[in-house]
Amino acid sequence: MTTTSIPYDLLRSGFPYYMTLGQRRVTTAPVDIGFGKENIYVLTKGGLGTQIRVLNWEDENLGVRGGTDLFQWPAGLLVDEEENLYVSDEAKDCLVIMNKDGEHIQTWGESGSDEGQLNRPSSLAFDLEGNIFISDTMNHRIQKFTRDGKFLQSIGEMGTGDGQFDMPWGISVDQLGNLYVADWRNDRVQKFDESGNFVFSLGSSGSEKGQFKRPTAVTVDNHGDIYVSDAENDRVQLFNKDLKYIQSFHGNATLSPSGQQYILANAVTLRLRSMADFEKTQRLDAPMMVKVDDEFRLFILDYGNHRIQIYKKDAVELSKEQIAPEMRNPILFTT
Amino acid sequence: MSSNDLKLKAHLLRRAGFGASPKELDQVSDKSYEDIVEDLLHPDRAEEINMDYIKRYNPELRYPDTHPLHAGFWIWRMINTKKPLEEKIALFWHHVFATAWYKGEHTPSQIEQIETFRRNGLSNIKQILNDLAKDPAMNYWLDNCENHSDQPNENWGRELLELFSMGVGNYTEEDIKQASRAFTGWTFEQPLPLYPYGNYETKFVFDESDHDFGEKTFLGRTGDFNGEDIIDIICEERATALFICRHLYNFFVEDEPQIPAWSIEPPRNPEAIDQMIDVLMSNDGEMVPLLRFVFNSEFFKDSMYKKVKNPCELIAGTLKLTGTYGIMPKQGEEVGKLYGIGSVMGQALMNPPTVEGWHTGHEWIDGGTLNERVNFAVNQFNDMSVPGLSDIISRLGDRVKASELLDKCLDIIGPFELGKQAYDALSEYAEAVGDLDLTNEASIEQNNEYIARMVQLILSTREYQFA
Repeated sequence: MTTTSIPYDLLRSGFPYYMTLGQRRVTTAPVDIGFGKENIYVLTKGGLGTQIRVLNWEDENLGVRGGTDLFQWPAGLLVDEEENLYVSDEAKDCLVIMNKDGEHIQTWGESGSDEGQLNRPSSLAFDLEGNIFISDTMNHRIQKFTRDGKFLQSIGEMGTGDGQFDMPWGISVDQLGNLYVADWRNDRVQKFDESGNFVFSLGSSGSEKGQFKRPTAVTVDNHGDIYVSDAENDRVQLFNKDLKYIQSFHGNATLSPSGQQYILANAVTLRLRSMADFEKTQRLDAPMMVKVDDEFRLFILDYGNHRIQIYKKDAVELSKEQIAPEMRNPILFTT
Repeated sequence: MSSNDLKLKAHLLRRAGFGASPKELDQVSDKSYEDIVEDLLHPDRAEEINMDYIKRYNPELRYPDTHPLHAGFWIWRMINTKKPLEEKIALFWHHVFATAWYKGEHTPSQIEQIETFRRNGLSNIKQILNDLAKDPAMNYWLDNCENHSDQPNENWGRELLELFSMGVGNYTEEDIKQASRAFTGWTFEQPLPLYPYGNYETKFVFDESDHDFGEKTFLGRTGDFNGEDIIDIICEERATALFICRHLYNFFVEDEPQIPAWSIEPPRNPEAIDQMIDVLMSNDGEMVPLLRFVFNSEFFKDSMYKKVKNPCELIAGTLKLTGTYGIMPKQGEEVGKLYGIGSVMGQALMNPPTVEGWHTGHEWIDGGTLNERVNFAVNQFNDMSVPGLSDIISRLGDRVKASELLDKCLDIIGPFELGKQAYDALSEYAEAVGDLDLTNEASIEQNNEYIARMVQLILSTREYQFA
């Protein structure tokens, strides 16, 4: 199922669990993910490894790229068409660029609050021309740069009103060039058009459907569906293009291939797992990042569980003629 | 308000908390000493600590994995909390009910135990002991999960009586055996293993099928006792009140002989201990009336500088002065480092050396730890950009005479008193520096260095090692 234009509506068959990648000490504390032609790049941060871990779809560990010699507090990862790797560093207020083998190409960025300067840059996203949006978190704005660091645009300022931010974190650009921002401390998601004009705000503080508790990331698929990492609520919420709440993902993981291999080789771990409450091992713990690819695979970085849970949308695209007109009110006669 | 009042308030905040920055002392300057005591005893009156930023920039705090990070985070809480007694009483119970990570290496249960002390530390002895008996970290530490109805393990039963409540000499070997039988079947849910996806929490479980329901005779009482009954009986004993009060006195008031000597060495202040026991027993084991009595007592007010700071007090108190490790983490301020700093001073939080806990008082100090303690405090002011130094300088005013510099710095940092030898030595330094004009732009850098050096000299004194 691929698409180039947003369908009128969808018959949502389901969104089943697809697979899990990674494990502790391989993808410990994953904060972002990017995709090459064959490789999967997972950015990890913390005492057990601050680096980019490279995996393949068989969940094999292909080594690491980068590390604390290049970045201290990495937050965002982008992979371009050449598989060059872009990493934002919240400690050094810069963007580090490596090739796919991890060789350093360039570092740019300057601390400060003036136009083009950065204060704790976190999430990254390409616009349709290949320029880079950076979530300039402590300056409470989103800035756009060319890939070699020339300032192009700034969106937003500190505040709670439309188009304002309080420590924005995850960002994403849809296929039409609209920008989505997880406005972290305002517990909402905001959308901006290609020119940076405010379009809408989604969500409020809380734990009910459609509410967020410190959302860390947002992504949009080619159907216009919006996915939000509702980190403190340990879930990912899905909304359609009209901002209607569709469903939540709480986690339904099975073992990753590498995890299964590890457990089968350790008799004590096998025994302990058989003695424990199994329910907990499926659930999400602080999903930090969410991304979706052109095949409608949803990647949830299950941060507290050191793994990536993947789901795949099963839906039929509908034209306007296939579905009854919108109704103003609900009916009990449901045929 | 007299300088003595402020000194007393600073003393209270050092003992019932982890010291106070000059700004924090300003905030209580208009309150009476007694009102400050009441605020300390009622943590619910204070606002919650803002953890948004620390968790944003230390997201590893979201999962209970490496214990140094979480132990360091505890010190960060000691620095930033608005409820200092809540953290201090948790540290107190961690001293008394010493449980170490190194046996189980299960960080979630270690974190949960400290959270329990934070939650129940100011409640009631009976409640505290019951929660302790159901605590998975303690349960595994003292092998009660291996205490089966057909195969008793007496480790928990023994330490409950010897190190957690009554003390040696107040019970028999038979009492230990009977108490242990009452705790059979008190175990915990098997947590999922660390690999492949990290640590998972656990919780207390009562396994009825593994409990010995037979009749027991404990401390002269007979019945079908379970664990709660044993704790009820323990809490009726004066020996338990004595044991808790000696610990409290040693931790909050004045350094006492260490616990192995308690059966042969009497309390340093037996009259105070007797009064504390009376308060505790007449209030059914409630902690708040006891602590209220202690903090308002003359023996507490007279105990200024009679206690060697434990490493946490030294670290948190010093970092309150520098204004670092605050609500918004800065580059280089990794909270896990705080655990390492405490460790080299002899206090690895969540990892006490034995079930007896840390020995305190002068035993905190040896050739190695003294170096670490002094160097740590002094080195914090090597960085002239720390906010605490700017605050001290701004409080000195525009002009400072050489003869005033030391006294002013002591007032701002403490208020703090030096012995004659240290006072004379530091006065010589002040004389050598001369009068300071802090409005003179040309000499501002040099003057700031002079002041930073004076602060460092004060922090390097013997007196700064005491609370």
